[in-house]
Amino acid sequence: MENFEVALKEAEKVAKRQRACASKSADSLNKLILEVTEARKQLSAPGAGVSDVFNALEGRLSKGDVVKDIADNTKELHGAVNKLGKAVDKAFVQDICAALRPVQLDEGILDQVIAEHLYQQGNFTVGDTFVQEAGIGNAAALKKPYTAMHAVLEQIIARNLEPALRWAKEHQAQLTASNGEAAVHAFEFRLHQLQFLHCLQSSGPAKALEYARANFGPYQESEMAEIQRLMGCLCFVRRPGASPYADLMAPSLWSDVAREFSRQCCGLLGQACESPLLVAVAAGSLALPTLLKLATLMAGQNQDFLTCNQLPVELELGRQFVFHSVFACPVSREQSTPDNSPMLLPCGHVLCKVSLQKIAKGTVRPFKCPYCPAEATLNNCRAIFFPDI
Amino acid sequence: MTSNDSIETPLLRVPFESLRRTTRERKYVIDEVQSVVSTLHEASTRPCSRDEGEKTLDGVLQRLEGLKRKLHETTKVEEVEARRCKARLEHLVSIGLPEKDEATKWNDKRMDRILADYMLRRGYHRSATQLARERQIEDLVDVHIFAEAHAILEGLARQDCSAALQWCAQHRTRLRKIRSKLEFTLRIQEFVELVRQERMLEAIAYSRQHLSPWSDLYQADLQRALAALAFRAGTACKPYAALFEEGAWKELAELFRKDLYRLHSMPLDSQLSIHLQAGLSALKTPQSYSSTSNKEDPLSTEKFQKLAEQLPWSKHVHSKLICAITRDLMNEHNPPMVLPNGAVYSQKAVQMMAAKNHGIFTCPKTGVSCDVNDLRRAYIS
Repeated sequence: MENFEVALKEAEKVAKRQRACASKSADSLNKLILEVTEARKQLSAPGAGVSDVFNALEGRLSKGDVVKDIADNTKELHGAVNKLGKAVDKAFVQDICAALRPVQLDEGILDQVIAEHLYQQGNFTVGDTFVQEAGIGNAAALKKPYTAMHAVLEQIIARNLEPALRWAKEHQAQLTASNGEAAVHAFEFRLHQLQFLHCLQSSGPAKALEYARANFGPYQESEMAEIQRLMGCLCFVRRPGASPYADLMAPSLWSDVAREFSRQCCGLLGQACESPLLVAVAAGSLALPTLLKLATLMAGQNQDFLTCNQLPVELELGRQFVFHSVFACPVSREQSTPDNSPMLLPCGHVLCKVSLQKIAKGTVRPFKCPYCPAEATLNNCRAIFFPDI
Repeated sequence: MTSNDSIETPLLRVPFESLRRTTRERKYVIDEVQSVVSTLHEASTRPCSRDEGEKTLDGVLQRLEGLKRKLHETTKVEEVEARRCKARLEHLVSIGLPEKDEATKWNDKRMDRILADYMLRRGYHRSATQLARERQIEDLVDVHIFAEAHAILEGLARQDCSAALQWCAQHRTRLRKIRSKLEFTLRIQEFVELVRQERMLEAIAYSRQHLSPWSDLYQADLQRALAALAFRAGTACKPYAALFEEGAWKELAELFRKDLYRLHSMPLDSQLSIHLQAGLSALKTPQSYSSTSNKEDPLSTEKFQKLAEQLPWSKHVHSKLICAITRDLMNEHNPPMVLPNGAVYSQKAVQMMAAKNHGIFTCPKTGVSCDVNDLRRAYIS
């Protein structure tokens, strides 16, 4: 970040220098042309001495230091540009392709994925153009699920929750089936809550109270505390910013609800809530710096980074990118597989089957757990599994 | 942030290299001005006739006017590139660095320009310009570079080299510096087309004029091409048949693209493929391919599995265990608990369920119920 700021400052200096240099050198050049034109005029006047004219011109030019001015200005510009170059070199990796394998990603599939991404993000105009240019056949099928979703989202952003509430009601059965009743209730209540707050701000407490009476009933049990807070809010209508309820008036509530809605909607469509293309690119942005360093390092040691079947190091991308439980055996450092499942020892430690068999050397012979003094036999260890998320 | 590890290299390198080049051109112009002035100085030191004097001054004026025009053009390019550098750095400063666990949100701010770059490289010009305009990222995308490339690529698709050759002439010095083989390859192609049409004499004349200057650089290629005169189109003789293949035009377009990227200091691959390769490798686990895979995993879809086909698997030497009920990470603060049937859930989930069901936990995946006291804590390092 700091590097960017330094570079930006240098870029600003370059822009300033460039403007100064451009105007000055244009001026000097114009002056030069003017002087020469003048001399030319003098020369064609009758009776003018040729060497007089030239000497006078020479004198005017050297007095004005015209040429030196231009050269100095240019030098300053060059200096600024070089500094910017150094700042840029310092901020960015040299070779962004160092970790790239010479495999071409299937462009047809990539195009499809992009089209879907554009539609999922609600960018329909660009999506349509793209689909046309890339010649994607099943465009309508890609687009359709997202048109309805974005129609509702647009309304949410325009502060109208009616369509979202209607959608929730229409899909109540499906939502309950996939998310469970409690989650559906909570989502519906969030919509009502926001509608109530909107009502309060735009039409006043009387209308809001009316809305609460009509709609909060079914949520009495599960959302009592929240309803009480909302009612408390009624006392502070005039100065919500200073009240303990300021958080209820934050504009971010709207974008949060919009996000939550698209999550629900994508869930029902059987799609990921985040665009998979975006997720993959995000993972890439986290992985790249490490991979680039690694590729350079390994190239220096004559190891081949570009052909290995597994990345040589573990990359920590953060919880956001853990989509599955991964068990790595603490002894062999290998990931478990269906054939090499994790095994629970009686003492509670867990190893992979293969490691365990190596340590046990037989099914009934007692052996010591590698992590504690407890003894176990292969027969009293059992396989465990981590259900899918 | 440590030094030089930002992966936005192409974003800055492209306008910066152009800026550096242009300021260098400015220097040449200024040098010219200086040499013009020194001719004036020279003229003043030696006697000359009025006629000669007039001629000298006219010549000087003409050169100066030309230099003025050149300087004006240089200035315009400098201005634009300096603005681009500034705008791009401003953009980088404004999006900042990704906060912890906000990588997706952060990348959302970069995504449009990454996509626009990919579209341009694929030749989807209208989509790219539309995207750039709509998201107001025109200064962050190199549309201007691809605008000139577009017409040339269209020409090559029509099997017409003229636009490409013109481009080569325009950038001859710089292409020579990067050892571009493009112009030679274009010439060979035009020659081959003449042979294909059985216009042998014309072909020979063409080779004398346009191929012979390359003889010291590409002797072997040149000889092979000329030998095609003896074989003609439709030959079965392998090295010569290759010359006449239709695919040659596609390869020419590829070659042009590569040289275009090199000329403008762009990486040969798009940021999108660079990111996808890294990202998909980092995410690729055998679990992604199971039928019950988490649908939030990009690699659970067939399309992304295909894209990741030739990429390496990710490596995990530390366990990362997620509870299927609460989706929380299981660790020493929220330890994994093992059911008698071997299924593992987090302690939080177990306690939550047990509190609701009078101490009985029911596994949501297998339906097996058991008393909470029958669960065993697992120690996973």
